[in-house]
Amino acid sequence: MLIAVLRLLGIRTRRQFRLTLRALAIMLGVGSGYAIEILIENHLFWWSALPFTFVVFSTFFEFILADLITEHNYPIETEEKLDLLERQLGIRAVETISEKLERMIQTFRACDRSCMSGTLHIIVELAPVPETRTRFGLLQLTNYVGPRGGSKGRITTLDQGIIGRCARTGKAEYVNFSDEYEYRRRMVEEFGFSMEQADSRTTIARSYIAVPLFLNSRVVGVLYFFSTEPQVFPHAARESNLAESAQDLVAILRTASIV
Amino acid sequence: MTIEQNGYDLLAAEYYDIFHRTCRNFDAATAQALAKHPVSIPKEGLVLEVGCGRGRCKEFLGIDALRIVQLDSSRQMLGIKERESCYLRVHADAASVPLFDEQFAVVVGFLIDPFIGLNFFSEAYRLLRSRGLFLATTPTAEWGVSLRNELKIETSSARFLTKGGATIAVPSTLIPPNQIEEMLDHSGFHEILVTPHCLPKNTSPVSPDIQQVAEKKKIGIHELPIIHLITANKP
Repeated sequence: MLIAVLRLLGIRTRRQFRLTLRALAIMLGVGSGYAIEILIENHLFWWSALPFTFVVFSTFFEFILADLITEHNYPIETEEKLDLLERQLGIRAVETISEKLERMIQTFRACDRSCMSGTLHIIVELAPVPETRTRFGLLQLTNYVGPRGGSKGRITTLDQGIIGRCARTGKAEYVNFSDEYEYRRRMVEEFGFSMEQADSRTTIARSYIAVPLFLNSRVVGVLYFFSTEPQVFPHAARESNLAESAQDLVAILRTASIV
Repeated sequence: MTIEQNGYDLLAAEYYDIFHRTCRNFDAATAQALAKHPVSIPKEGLVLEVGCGRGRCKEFLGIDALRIVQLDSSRQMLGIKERESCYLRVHADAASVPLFDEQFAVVVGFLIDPFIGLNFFSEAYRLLRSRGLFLATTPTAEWGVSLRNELKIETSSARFLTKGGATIAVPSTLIPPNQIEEMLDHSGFHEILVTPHCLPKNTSPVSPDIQQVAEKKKIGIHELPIIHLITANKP
């Protein structure tokens, strides 16, 4: 309910939510202080106790309650965020997303579909770091469908990888590497990873495609597939209509109030 | 090997030497395949030879040098001095050629495993004019995957042992014939033909890499398909 009202007001991030609570506390405190002054001027001393309790409450709210409420609704920790997402989404919906990813893989043509893996990432707010106060990232929502890839919960910042590039440009992006040397070089030079980060990923993948998920013209996530076979994308996905499939996934996420 | 280096740059100086017996065996199998399945090369129009190395169009197909555009992603391969002459040499990736559409009567490649794939086939289709011919050879998965599994090396790379004793890995994708046909069909080609070819009987010396797989499969070295000859036409 609270989340629905906040979305109606255009509040989507942890930072926006916290600032809204702070503004409410300040308004309540200032209004109550003004009421106290009026009541004292009119010698209504006992009545002034009522707005005084509001001042105490707004102080308590700003310094303690607001942080707790924010943490509950917009948890910083990835695991908590993922748990919250999954609770909202439900196990059945997660399974439905995985099934849809598998069906999308079956629509790819002229390639070895057994080499293909896929997952879904959604855009989330990350914990602020000293360099940039607010950062957004992509949270891997489901385990990979297919033989390769890491498990759900992995975070990728928007300045990293083909999925980050896709989220930034709002266009389908693809890349092909001819071998592991090209993979390592381009992951560092073009895709914003350190050598260590590049090594921690599936180094034998050769072809990648990322397709944006839109809600009200805003990118809310990225559909992502990769293959260990070289030169698969974009031609293998030419008849797959991934953009339409991506919007089906948005409908599921929207039903579950994830986006 | 550093990440900036193209493996074929390191191999260029000795790639065509008899020392690399597997490659020479492929040459013999290619010559026999073309003799068994003669292809009708269009009499006019440019011929693009992808992954050309020193160039083989004159040797295998007897094409006039003035019709041939040689393309390779390795500068050193393009710089080999003892080479077939040609109209133009292009340093580029075969899957992303910086030339206009529909300029070539033939796109040809001998041993295209370093860059075979959907993007390459689509690029070849783009570059060919209507009724153009695509002709290529590539090592068979039947031979190569067995060998790489036996040697416990990555199945998407080939391993060269140099005269100096160094090991150089280069990209090499091996695709089953039915998938090659599917890829060519998906790229728009018609009249697709993928045929397996073995080492000719009089070939000597025979590569131990071929002997090893034949022994493993319990067949003769001349019964093991080592290359596919691929032909297809643009409608």
